[in-house]
Amino acid sequence: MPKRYLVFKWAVYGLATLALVFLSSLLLGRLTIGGVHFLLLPMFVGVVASYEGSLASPIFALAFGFLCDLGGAGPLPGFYTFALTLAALIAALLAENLFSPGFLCSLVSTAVCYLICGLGRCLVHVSDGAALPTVLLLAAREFLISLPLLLAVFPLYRWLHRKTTVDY
Amino acid sequence: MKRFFTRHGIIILSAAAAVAVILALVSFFSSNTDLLTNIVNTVSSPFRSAASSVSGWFEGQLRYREEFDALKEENQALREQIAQMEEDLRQAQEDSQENERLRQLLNLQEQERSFTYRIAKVTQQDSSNWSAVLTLGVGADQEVEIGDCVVTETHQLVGVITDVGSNWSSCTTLIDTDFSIGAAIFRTGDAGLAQGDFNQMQEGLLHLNYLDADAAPQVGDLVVTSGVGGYYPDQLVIGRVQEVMTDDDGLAQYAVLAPAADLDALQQVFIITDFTIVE
Repeated sequence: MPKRYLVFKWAVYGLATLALVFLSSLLLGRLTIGGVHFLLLPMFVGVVASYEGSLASPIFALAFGFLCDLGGAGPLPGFYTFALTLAALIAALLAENLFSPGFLCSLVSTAVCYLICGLGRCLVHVSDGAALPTVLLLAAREFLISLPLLLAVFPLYRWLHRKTTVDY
Repeated sequence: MKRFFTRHGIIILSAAAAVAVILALVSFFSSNTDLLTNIVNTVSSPFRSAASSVSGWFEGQLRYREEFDALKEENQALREQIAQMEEDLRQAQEDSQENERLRQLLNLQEQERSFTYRIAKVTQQDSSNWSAVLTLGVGADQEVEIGDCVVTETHQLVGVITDVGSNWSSCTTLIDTDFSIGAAIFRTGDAGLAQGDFNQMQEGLLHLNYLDADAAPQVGDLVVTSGVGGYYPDQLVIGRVQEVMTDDDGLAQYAVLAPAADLDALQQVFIITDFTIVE
């Protein structure tokens, strides 16, 4: 596969993801449901992992997580760099071995990413003195209110995947 | 799958772990914001500002309709409060004059409270469920420093600056779990430590911990910064006691505080970049 094509493809993915981050902060930044904000970062990684396989998607997740950490999104420096890479790796392996690409595959992959990021968050906050049931409940609520947005995110990445995938 | 983990997977995960460790080390050892973080936040600052303006406008439109009746009621209550405060002010002016005469009589130094402010626009409200941090549109270029207090126009404490870039800064608000400041109950002078608490952050509340055993906080008591140590100014309004609780072991008590500042509706704040207080 030509290097130029790969650069173009991942530049498109990167720009689309940054645009989604900007749009979500514009439209959802101050919106809460039951006092809980939406969290879409694991969803972006989860959907990409379901389409792009276990080699490319963890590298994408690493770069995206690194940017998230530099932007101050994580509870600890380097949190998203590691958590999103691990999540993308596991999600992509599951997607490759158990499902064919599609909505169900993206749903499972996204759930795995939320699970790993959520557990990581819980670990950090419990070690900081927060009550385990409180953080687990918050992580679950965050996942449940964010999940319906997969209906909007999934078609975009599916479209990108179709437009940027060429068989060689 | 096993083969993958022995090859690519391990390599990528190791790379991620290495990057994470480097980020952690840089953050731990540098007292200021590192270069890459500064660049990312400086570049994203205009986008944050634009997003904040647009979402703030929509929120304002929605709130205007929703809160019209509530504002009418609040207006009436405020009129009554102003009448009461005018009476208190007359009394305070008399007390102040008496205080001045007594100071002259005792040859004491004149009291002085002066603050240097920097106005800052809130460019991003924290949209995370796990922290309560505001991003402000001013930074080191405007002489903002880590540790500066952030207040509203009526000296209600919003938080403390914890991260500074060239044209942005992060304000950890008083409900965040990383927030901690010396505080005192205004009525009694009892000192404690106002701290964010994760279990109550979602409700927008914080704790007043480490109260003296003989302290007697009451619901409705005003809590202000104590200014002990001179690092932060005193008399900044933190909030009011909402509930008085006892620790699980039953030995110590703490108060649950409702912040005076409306942290969700902030669009502009004031950073105290310098202060002089002579009591």
